[in-house]
Amino acid sequence: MLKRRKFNEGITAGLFLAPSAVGFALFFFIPFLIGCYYSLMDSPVDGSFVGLRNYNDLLHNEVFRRAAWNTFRFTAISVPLNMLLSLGLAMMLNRSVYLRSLFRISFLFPLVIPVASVVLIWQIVFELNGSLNGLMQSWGMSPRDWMESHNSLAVVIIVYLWKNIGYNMVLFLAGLQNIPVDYYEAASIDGAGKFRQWRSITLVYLTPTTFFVFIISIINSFKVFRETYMIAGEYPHEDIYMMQHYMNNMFKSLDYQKLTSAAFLMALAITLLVFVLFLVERRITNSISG
Amino acid sequence: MKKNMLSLTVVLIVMLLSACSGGGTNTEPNTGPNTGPNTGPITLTLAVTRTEGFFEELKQKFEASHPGVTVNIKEYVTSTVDKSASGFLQQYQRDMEKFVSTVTTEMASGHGPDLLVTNNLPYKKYADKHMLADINKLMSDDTSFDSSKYFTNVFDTMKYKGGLYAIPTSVQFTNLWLGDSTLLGGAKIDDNTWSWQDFADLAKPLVPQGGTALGGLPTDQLLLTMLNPGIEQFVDMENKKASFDSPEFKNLLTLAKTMIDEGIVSGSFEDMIAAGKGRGTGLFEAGGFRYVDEFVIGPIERFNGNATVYRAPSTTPNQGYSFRSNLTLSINDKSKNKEMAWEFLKFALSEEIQVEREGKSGMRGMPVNKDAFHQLLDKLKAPDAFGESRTIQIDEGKELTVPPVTQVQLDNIESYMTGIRSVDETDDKIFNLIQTESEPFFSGQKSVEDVAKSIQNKVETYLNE
Repeated sequence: MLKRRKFNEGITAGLFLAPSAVGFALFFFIPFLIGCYYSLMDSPVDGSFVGLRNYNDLLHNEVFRRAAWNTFRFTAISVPLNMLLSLGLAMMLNRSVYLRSLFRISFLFPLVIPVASVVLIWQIVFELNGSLNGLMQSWGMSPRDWMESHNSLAVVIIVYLWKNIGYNMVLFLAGLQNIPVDYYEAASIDGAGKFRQWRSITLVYLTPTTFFVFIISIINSFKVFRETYMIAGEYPHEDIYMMQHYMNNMFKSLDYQKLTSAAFLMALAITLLVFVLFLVERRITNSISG
Repeated sequence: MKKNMLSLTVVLIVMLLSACSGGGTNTEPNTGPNTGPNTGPITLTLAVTRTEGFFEELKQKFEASHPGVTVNIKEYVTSTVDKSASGFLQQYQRDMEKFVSTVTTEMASGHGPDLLVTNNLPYKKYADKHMLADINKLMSDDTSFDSSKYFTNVFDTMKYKGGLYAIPTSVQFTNLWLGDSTLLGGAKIDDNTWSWQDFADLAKPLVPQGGTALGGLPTDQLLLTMLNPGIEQFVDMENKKASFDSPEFKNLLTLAKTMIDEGIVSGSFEDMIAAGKGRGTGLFEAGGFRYVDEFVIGPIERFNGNATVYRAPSTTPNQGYSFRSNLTLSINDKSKNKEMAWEFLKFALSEEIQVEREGKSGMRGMPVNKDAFHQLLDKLKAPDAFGESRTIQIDEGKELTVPPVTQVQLDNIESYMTGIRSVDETDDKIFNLIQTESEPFFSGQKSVEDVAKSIQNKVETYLNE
């Protein structure tokens, strides 16, 4: 009886899920599988099966390797930075600060402003003849080409942080407000100092939020391509030439083999990363509750 | 429950997949027939950026001589362009980008046009992907095609990786200049070997007051002019190597900047338009010879009738003459009508078409067909070549009498044709990169090292992607 009800519920759930499943399959999953198929052929038209040759070519391609390394480096630097800063902000704004709600809202603004208009401002700031160089010159420093030097990575990281800190801050704020005040009170009665409270209560109970923020930040860090592409074009300085530049240019020069195999490799890497993170998260949550 | 969800998803996916492949199989029977020429009605599609009278004429003549064949001229750029409006260049660039991406997508999907006007298309990248037919092979397989009847040195300039994937059907010279013999005085110029440095040294003391050494050339085009021909010295497309960080390229950059700074070459694009395409105050002037008779008229018409034809300086000595074709054609290797496409190409190279000069059906260039070329030269010799009175109108109502054309002149004209060694073709991407990256150097904001390094990095990235 119970089993039967469960089965019926399953069908109902399936029906409710069907529209989104169809959409997902049609626009993401099936194209992805087709892409995988193309990545194993030598030409999109009348191609023959070549196995993993495209992947081999890709892994030996210098430009691809640079793009992958740049993407990795960017993520490795910007994601922890983003999390630290947004956690700090969240903790500050969790206390009673003057004009607290105004601050909270203002940090969210970058999220709702369209990228294109923002990029225009960034361009004006960081251009060779831009306002930042003008300011530096008036201070007696020599101007430099921000987007065409090793500074470009820093610029992209700043843009990414500016855009994403607000979102993470809101997530952290929600996490912070979910921690019962009793814990802190109990801890302070037991004689725990501020730092000890932060380390043993705040950090520990923020773990699930932190993981969520971590994953979202990583995914968002891949999206920074949009901003770099709009600021620096399809061939930016070699330090900020990302995977997405590579794929975009491959698409433009109709190299579907490289494009699909690069996309597949990247999807594989992200999936693996997320999978490992979930494993770690489950471990930690278990150890907290257990 | 989870299991059910999974199987439901799988069923859905399978259904969708089979629906997709079902659609695919329906189209296949079409590939069966239509393989050989003259089997039933054939439609040839020719991809052009913008259709012109010339294409219409070509289509009509071809259809008349090949019954059962329809030529479909597919126009990709339909926006109207006002050449005098500001932003015209940007509009042109946008149109071209759109044209390239549309054709590229069509080619990659296997539904590309049978014939392509390749002037603005990255045909080398297409050839790398085996999308274009090797015209060299079509030529040698076709017994009715006699390649000795053509200026094959012109074709050879476009060879890529041992094959010929795009064929020029007409010639306009791009590195021939007219020099003002009065101003040049007795200056000795060995135009077979002179370099840009020689040009700068020679021109500096001779530049007329308020003028420029090279009329009609805006300063922002100088570097690209110096690299065309000659860019192959710095870019090896076949081996995907660039050497823009070499001392030679840095010297070239520095020389270009010196020429601009010292006013040897001056004038912006706007100045040029205002001055009516740089008439007057130049020491030299880029010739842009399109028709054989311009070799006769040019020298007597320009610089008060005291002009000499020179080959432009080059980055490497003995570079030969360089040309651009008004019409470069390629055949889609996946085309179902490849033989007929080849027929069409042959038709475009035939004497009948090639001999047409100007007007609606003109090639807008000199013929690559030797018979047609000689026919035009013979016409020049005729007493009525320039009208009964042998006078031509030049501006301000002046009239000039054209002296009889000598055999030496004709031989010279032919020697320009046979001396063609390179094609003035631009991989727009590389030229755009060079153009934008070199700007801060010319405005003095970056050092030559930085700029050369930046160009080198970007071009290598582009080549090796």
